[in-house]
Amino acid sequence: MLLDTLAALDRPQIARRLAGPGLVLRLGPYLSRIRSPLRELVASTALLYRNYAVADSDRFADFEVRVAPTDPIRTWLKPRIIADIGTPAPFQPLPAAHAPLMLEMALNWSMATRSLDYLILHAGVVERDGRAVVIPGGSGQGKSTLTASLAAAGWRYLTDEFGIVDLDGLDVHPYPRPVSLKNESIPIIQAAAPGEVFSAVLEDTPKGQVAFMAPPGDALALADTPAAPAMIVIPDFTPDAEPDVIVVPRARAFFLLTASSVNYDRFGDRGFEAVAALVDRVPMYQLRYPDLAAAHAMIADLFADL
Amino acid sequence: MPEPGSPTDNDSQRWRVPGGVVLRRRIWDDEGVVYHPLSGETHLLNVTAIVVLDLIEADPRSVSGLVDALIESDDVEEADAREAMTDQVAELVSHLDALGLVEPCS
Repeated sequence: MLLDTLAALDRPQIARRLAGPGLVLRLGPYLSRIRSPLRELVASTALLYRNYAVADSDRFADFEVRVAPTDPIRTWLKPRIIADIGTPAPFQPLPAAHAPLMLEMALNWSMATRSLDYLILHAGVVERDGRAVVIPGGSGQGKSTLTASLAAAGWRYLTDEFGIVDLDGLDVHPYPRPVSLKNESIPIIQAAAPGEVFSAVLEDTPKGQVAFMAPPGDALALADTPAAPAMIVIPDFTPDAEPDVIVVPRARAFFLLTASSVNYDRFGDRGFEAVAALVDRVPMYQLRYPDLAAAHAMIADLFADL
Repeated sequence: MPEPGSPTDNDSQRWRVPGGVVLRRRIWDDEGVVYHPLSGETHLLNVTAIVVLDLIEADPRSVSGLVDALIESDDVEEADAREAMTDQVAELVSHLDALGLVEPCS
């Protein structure tokens, strides 16, 4: 049975579930069971996942994630932690203070490697008027910053990590997770979205400074509402560059999409046809911009002309 | 049998799409993509390469047979085009061979 949200549980209840049978949260179309004895995870989970649907702990979960000390005895001497998702994964131990980052990485890895229900693009997605802008990009290419800034400007946030695409209808389904912000993007988005909820800044992680923003606006209220992809934007943040829009030829767009997908090669013919249909239907643009205001202006112009 | 990927000027060598394989393709403008279901790989090809692949898939052909078909379909001056086209088509076929999209046949 689904409760309303995690807000229905107080912190001791959340801690008991995490340390015991697991905290089962609905993340996009899936249920994930999170288990951890780490007190470092309780406050951040209560904060960032406050508005997520939570299920009873005995529910079947699609994904199982456990974040725990690497050595259960040495929990008092600079403990290091690691995630276990039940299958081999390339996680490296982190300090316990970085447990929220480890949890996010583990949940992402579970989704990327084990979901076979959707074509998954490594992409941010925002939506307006039922039409989605898909923003593919690897880590550090500006995807999350652009996605978060658009959300702060009123676009509906679907995800900053995985655009999950229905293979038949090509709709993009929400996968609203805490927005992962790094380094200089943290104060930029904090200033752009003063009404949103941010985690503490994690210092000296492998990615530098990291902070998370809880899904902004009505992202979680509309977590069951997919959107039709209307355009695909490849972000190219280049300081001092003149704003520029390049139309990506469709065959190249096909390749960029397959390169950004974490599971295209697992669908065979069906994946090929889905990406080809997406390329047929949705234009791709490469946007070069010196600042977010320029990117927003270009996206608004392109969107208006669709 | 020529080494995969090596240019061939063997006029009689015919080429085919590997047996049982249905290559999926899509062309946009002057480029296209071809999906090979056995390797699971998708290849970006120019439209000429896809036309050559179409011809081979329809009927196993030699390089000279491909040149004949291209000259006929493009309505070009045969005398001017044949020599240059033969080298280019041979190289193209070798490339398709290296990608596993075609193979020699008897």
